[in-house]
Amino acid sequence: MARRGGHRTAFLWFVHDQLPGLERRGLSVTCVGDAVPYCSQAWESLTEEEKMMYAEKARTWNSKKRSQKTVKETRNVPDPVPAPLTTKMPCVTPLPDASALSWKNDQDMVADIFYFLDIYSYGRLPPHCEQRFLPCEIGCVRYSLQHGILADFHHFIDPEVPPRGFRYHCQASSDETHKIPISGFHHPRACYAVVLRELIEFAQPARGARPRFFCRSNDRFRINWCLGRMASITGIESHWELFAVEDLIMKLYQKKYQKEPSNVWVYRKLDVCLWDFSSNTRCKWHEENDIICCALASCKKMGYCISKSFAGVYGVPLTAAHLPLQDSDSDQGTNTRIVKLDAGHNQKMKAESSGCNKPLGCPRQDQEFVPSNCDSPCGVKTSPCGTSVVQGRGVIRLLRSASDLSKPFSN
Amino acid sequence: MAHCSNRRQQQLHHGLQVSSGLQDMSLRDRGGRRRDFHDLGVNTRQAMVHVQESKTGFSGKVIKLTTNHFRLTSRPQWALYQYHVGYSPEMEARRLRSALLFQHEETIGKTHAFDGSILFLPKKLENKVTELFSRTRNGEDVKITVTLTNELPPTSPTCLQFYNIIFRRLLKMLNLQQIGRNYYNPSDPVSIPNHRLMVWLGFTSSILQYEENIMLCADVSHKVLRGETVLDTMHSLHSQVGEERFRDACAKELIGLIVLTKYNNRTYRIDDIDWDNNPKSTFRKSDGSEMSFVEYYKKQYNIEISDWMQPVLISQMKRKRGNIQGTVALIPELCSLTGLTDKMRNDFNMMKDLAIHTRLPPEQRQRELGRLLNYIQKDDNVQKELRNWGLSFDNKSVSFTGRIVQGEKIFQSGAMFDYNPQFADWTKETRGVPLIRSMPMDSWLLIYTRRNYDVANTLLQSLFKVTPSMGIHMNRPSMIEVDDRTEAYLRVLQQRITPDINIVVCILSSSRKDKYDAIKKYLCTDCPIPSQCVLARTLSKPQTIMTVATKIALQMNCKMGGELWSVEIPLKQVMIVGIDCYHDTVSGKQSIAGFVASLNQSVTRWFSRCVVQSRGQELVDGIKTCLQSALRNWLKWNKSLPSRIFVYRDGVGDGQLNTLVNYEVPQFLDCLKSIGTDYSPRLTVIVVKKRVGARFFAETGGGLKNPPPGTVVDTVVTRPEWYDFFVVSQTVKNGCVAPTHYNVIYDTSQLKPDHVQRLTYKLCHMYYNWSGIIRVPAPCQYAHKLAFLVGQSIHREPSMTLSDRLYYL
Repeated sequence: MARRGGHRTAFLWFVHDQLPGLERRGLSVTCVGDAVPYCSQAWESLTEEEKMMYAEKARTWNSKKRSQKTVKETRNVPDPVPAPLTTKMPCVTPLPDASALSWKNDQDMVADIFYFLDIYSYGRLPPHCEQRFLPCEIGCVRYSLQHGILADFHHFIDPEVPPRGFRYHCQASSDETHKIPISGFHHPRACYAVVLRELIEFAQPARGARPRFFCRSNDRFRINWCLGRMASITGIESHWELFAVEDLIMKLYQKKYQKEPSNVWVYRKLDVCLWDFSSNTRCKWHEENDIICCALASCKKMGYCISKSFAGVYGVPLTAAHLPLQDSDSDQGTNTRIVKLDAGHNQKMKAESSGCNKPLGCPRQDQEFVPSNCDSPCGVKTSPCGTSVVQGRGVIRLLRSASDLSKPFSN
Repeated sequence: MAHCSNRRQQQLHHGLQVSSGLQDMSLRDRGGRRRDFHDLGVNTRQAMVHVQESKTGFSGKVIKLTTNHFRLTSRPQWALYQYHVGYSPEMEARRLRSALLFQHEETIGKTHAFDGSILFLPKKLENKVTELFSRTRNGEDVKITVTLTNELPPTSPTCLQFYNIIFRRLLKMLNLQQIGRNYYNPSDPVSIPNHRLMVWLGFTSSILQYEENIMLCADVSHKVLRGETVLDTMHSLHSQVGEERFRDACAKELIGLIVLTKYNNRTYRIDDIDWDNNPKSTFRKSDGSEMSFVEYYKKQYNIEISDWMQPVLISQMKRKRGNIQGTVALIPELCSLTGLTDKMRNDFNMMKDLAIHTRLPPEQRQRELGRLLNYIQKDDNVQKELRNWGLSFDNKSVSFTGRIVQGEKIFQSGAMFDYNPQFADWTKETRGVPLIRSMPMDSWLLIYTRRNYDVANTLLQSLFKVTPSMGIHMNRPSMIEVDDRTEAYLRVLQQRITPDINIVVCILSSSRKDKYDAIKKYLCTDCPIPSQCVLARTLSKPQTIMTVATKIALQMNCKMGGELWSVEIPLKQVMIVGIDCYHDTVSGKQSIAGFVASLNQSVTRWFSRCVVQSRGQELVDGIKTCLQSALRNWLKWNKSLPSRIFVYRDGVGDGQLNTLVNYEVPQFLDCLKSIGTDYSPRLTVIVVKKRVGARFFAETGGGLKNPPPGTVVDTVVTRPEWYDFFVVSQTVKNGCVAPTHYNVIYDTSQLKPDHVQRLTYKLCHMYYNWSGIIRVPAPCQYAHKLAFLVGQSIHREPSMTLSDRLYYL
């Protein structure tokens, strides 16, 4: 449905730009109309930022068209129809380019302080709403490669009321991610003014420059918007630069290896699911409720990623501030016990010497053998429940190499 | 506006392009989207010479079948006449255009279909161009030009769309109400009082050109309504939680529900509750006047709203053409709840009671359909309308014959089994027989929480009992007790997993999805190793524990790369591929394609990969890469490349066939070309569709029964322009069995249709998570499982080291 010369949407511009590529793939697409079916999926997967780019393109085109028209047709009308996208965009700061990131030498880089930032919202509202996001949680960490995570900052934000008719949307998207309820949340929430003031204080760079924040590139639009929103509502004058943490990782990699890492590599590094559940990573509420999506955790994980990927090559020793605590011998209340069952009475016991190549250097002598008794074939002793942390027993893996063991069972 | 007249002009130039106009018509009928649901006009058979003459198979025992198709007949020399209608001066409103045109009913006749620019008549007007003059209410004179553009034979695609529109018109005349795409009868509901439910009986229908005739395919559909209104729910919430928490409770319980307003039979989702308004509040109508809800409902629908204190519900309108969005205000008292909540779904008794009414056995299903056809025959207005158009429906469904192909033999470690075709299941027969390839469990982990200590023990004992006869060698596991926290599970995995571990078994105490997701994600990507999660509840019943343990043992064996059984595959050097898609709603609408390809002659080993659609990329690009690596793996295993490739493609939506034929198949061919210049295997691409309207019934001893598994249908109800067939492969305990539709869209195999049908049926026996025949070929089901796991839990491509195992079962 190509409308010659008429109103053009952002999508049409996108399709228009895709045409050469499609032709290269050997498709017979002569006009935008032919290409639409091949592009809709791709369009859906664009980020908000990328879509905005096309929307902007469409808007300039359309307003140009319209003004031409208005000039032609109605000379007397002084003010042409306002462009469709007149929603007040509180995006006060343009997103900076990664080229702004540079260091004199490795020493500088290692000592440099970064602020990782994430702001969660109750969903993303459609473009025609004035309110695109409803910020509800903010997390920020101060980090340097030298010292790891130096400090963190976290608040639940007092959210604005969802625009009428969007409560379901907000509720549903919250349920899918951070699960912070819209109403009936019994944790203190800070208002915009407090959040913003404290954030600025937290991220105040030493030399009076603008604070530099880093976030995941997919979230950049949202976070920038939310910062802008808070600034414009509270009237607090503030300036900041918001970079994509992916760019930072690229830079760090490039500096050491003199080549670019692949996007997939960067993505993999950032998305380590083990850290999702590490202790001392999420905020208290998210940890207690065992919910993965936490703004604070999101920031800390960026730090972990950089520590893990670059501490070695930059010659920085790893500390507890660099990576989450992992060892089980720390007292985090994780009660892991290893028990040996004697379930199959007819199983031959082989010497358990057959290899305990566990990372944990647990003394094997500690292994607790509980002989089977006739009444309960599973002669396992549960240690009296309670707070006793029975850890570090090592792994008992018995009979591992035997090849002729499982004989048919007689009952 | 400019766009509108533009379209009309285009149509003037190409008289044939009516379909868009007609689709508009059905679009305005509301319901459907602008899409060719029936993939009309995709003619794939003409390119396949070997099925030009005949696409039917021959093997098997003949069975008499009837179906839910009814023949549509038209008068001899019937034709439909299509006219273009132009207005001078131009009139924009469709309603006005119709009104002006139908001032001349004496010329045009009483029987007509008009969408604002295209007019269909059952008769030919005297002149090719007819000029008519009308006058609007404002006294404006309008010249209407009616130009004959086309004379359509009964089988033309436009006519088919026209039939469907006329049929919808008939259903409306019968006072059936449209909800969604189907029509329901509100006047004769079945109520289930002990669950406060109501069931409306309705019909799905489509009219298409089948092998020899144009037929109506009709099926029974049910709409479950709940007996209470939103206001009732609010009252009961109020009494439960009290004034203080009432609003929060309402927001929690009600927002997101789908409601039906009986006055117009439309469904809405509750998006918000407006507590500041009530039925006495006013709203602005489209003409600008203010009116209160009470007045509006009284005037418009003659409904008295009794509770004037209730709040107003807000629903977002779905996106329509032109991106107009808006909200609708609804009165809780007038909104009935629809559908079933999860709580209701988990209520076994209720689902059982409901199934009595919704899962109709063949006999009853046909009876209900017969009733619909009877309404059509009996209703004078409907008959008159049909007569005027020169059309009529048979009131008896078509009968024909199908074939029951021979049952397969199941081979397992030298033993051979027949299964009872009635149950299509060989669990009993193969019990206690060694598997084709059993994987040892020399070193494995069993992780459980303290509370599930006993359960873990029971599982272990049962596994020790059942595994020896399967030939699975099992050692005692490392048993690890953890806190019931995701972190604890992950930490244990991180610490205890060594390269020599075969499998990890986790006993989960609740079906919390995030814990499962975290475990699967870790064990499929960061630390690739097969894993088996078991819900503690599943193991809690002593009477079923052995059965459960047997199934778990089989499943684990497959996950570690084992093979269970096989069927005879006579073709040599053949690679079978299955593809299915999953559309991920959570992580930014990613789509995921599961890709599974066989690796050996007996089709018992599989290579599995999946494609997570990356930004700006088509899924098929990833599928190409998958096919390439599958071929490389095949080469590694067999020291040669396959000479035949069968692709079973599932997950194709209505109306996507065209893209598949014109884009995906060429990509496959491209990919094969890229392997080597002298490599040209025979390729067959088959589209698998589980959701089809067709139902078959076996005529036995005067009654109707479900056809037995192995029933193949390739005549009468298939489409002439396709190389397609139906296979009934599974059995159902109650209700009607649904056949699966197979459409061969590309085929250079030179195989007889019979062989393709047989192969397809054989593959339905090869799904290792079910010792029986399933509804689709095993590779499709594997691909589905894989895509589902990745889409639901992992959200990225699993590690390639797992790709030679069915780790996702």
